[in-house]
Amino acid sequence: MRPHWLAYWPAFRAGLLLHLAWGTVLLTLAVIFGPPLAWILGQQPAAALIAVLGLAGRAVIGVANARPLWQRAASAGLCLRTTLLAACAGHLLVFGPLALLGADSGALLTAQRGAVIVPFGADLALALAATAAGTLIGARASRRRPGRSPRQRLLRRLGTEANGPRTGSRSL
Amino acid sequence: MRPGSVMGRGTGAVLVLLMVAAALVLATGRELGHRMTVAVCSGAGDCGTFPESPPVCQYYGRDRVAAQETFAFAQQQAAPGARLIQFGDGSAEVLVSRAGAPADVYGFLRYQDAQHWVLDHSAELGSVADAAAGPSGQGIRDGYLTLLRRIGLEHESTVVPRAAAIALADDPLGGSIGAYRQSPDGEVSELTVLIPFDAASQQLKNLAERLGLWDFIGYTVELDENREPVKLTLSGPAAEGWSVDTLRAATPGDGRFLPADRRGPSGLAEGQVLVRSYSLDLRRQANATVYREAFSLGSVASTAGPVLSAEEDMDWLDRGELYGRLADRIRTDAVFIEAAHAVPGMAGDEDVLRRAAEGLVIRLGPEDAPDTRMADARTADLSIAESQPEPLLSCDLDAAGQEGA
Repeated sequence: MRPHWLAYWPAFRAGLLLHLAWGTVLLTLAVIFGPPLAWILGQQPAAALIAVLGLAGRAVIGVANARPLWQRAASAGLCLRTTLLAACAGHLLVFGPLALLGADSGALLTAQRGAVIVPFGADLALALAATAAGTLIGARASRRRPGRSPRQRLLRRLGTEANGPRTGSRSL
Repeated sequence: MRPGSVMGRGTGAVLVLLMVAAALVLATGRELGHRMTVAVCSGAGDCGTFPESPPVCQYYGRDRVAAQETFAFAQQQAAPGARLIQFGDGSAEVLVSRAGAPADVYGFLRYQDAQHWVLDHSAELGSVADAAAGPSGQGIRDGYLTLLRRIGLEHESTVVPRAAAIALADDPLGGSIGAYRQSPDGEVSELTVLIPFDAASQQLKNLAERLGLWDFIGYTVELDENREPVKLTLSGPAAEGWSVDTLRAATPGDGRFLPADRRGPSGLAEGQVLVRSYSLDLRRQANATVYREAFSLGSVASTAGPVLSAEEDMDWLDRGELYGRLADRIRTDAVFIEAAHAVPGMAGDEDVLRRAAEGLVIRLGPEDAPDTRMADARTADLSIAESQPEPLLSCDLDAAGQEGA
């Protein structure tokens, strides 16, 4: 019998915390260290580096966030819903207010004013796609019974061969 | 931690602490970011960091005060459409040009504040911060600055334009270029017009020759809040083979014909552009009298401003006498400033020199005017009899005795 969907609240909470932390740290790196990095690498390479770092981080969070769910034999749909909801909430909480304030204030040295909603939506979609990719990657890595790492399975097999068939062993 | 459990308590606490630390750095770390950016671009030699306090030779006079307030010690294109100008008294201006709209003029008491402001609002540097949200992120950096402002942690972004600067499209005299500044209440506060020699009358060219100018003569009229003129400045690129004695040697009221374009520009071989300027205080009655004869209120773009009406409204004889009286006022009461500006890549190119000089006289532009750095300057108060130009930056300690930076 599959666990109740409320059992996945801890996973959602963990994912949200991870995304909030990653988003805040990434924003700090981009705002404080981004400009000098841009002078060294060039504006576009520096922006690309930060964007790739952000997406890679979200994928890794997706893997970590989904692993315990897979280990509990949760369905793919539920795993994806949990991790994507956490990613969406985390991204919106960190970058949503800033994007709205940026649209409101307008930029003094740029030509565009208020044109931030569509790009923000595109970035959110990319963040969710990275998280989904990480979630599915986590499925493959987690398709093993809890407590049965490859080393443990090898030792168990060697023990079985050395000691003969075991009786009364617990079913795996 | 149990196998298959979601997250340990320790991990959660670490993440919360990480978030708090990052938020604190975001709130307080902008100065660190500015310092790193300035250090990096200074090392690369392309962000225009200039000495905080140019070493000015220490003697006092109205010529020194005028020079420090108006000298463009450094000009650079800080960002596309943004021109950063540092003055001798350490203050700075940023002119932000927009296509089809007046340029905004932002004033700063310290050059560093202007530089940080440009770094904060540069589109290129902002796109790097925006990338934290994703590849197509926009507005994140601006939202961050707005958030800081709303919680009282940031004040530099609240700088508002002190004036609008508009390039003259329909110039008062055919062939000339210029710009005017408009105060926030819409009144013209300053007008600058450059008149090339091929668009000037012969009498004006004679005056330019006497003042040691080459290629064009520019006039700048500054108005106070009551729209009363307070200062008139005549300036232009310096011609070679001139000295203050040339100006003093002229016969009072002399408006005779003199070839005005026989000399080349000074400083071309050294890769420098020299700009000479003469400023008259129009609050002095004698200066104001001559000014009112030569200038009158005319149509400037869509508003009214002082124009050199003597070029259009007078016959050549009266004009010659008027300019002779103006030359008399200059040689007996003006503040003389001659500044040498290094122009990277000039290499003997007169066109580059001309564009640089135009950019130094008209502080609005042209937009493609090259970056400049002041190399040296001389000033003199011509109201003092027998005064000679004294160096502003490079003091001769041996000759002067105790003069120093």
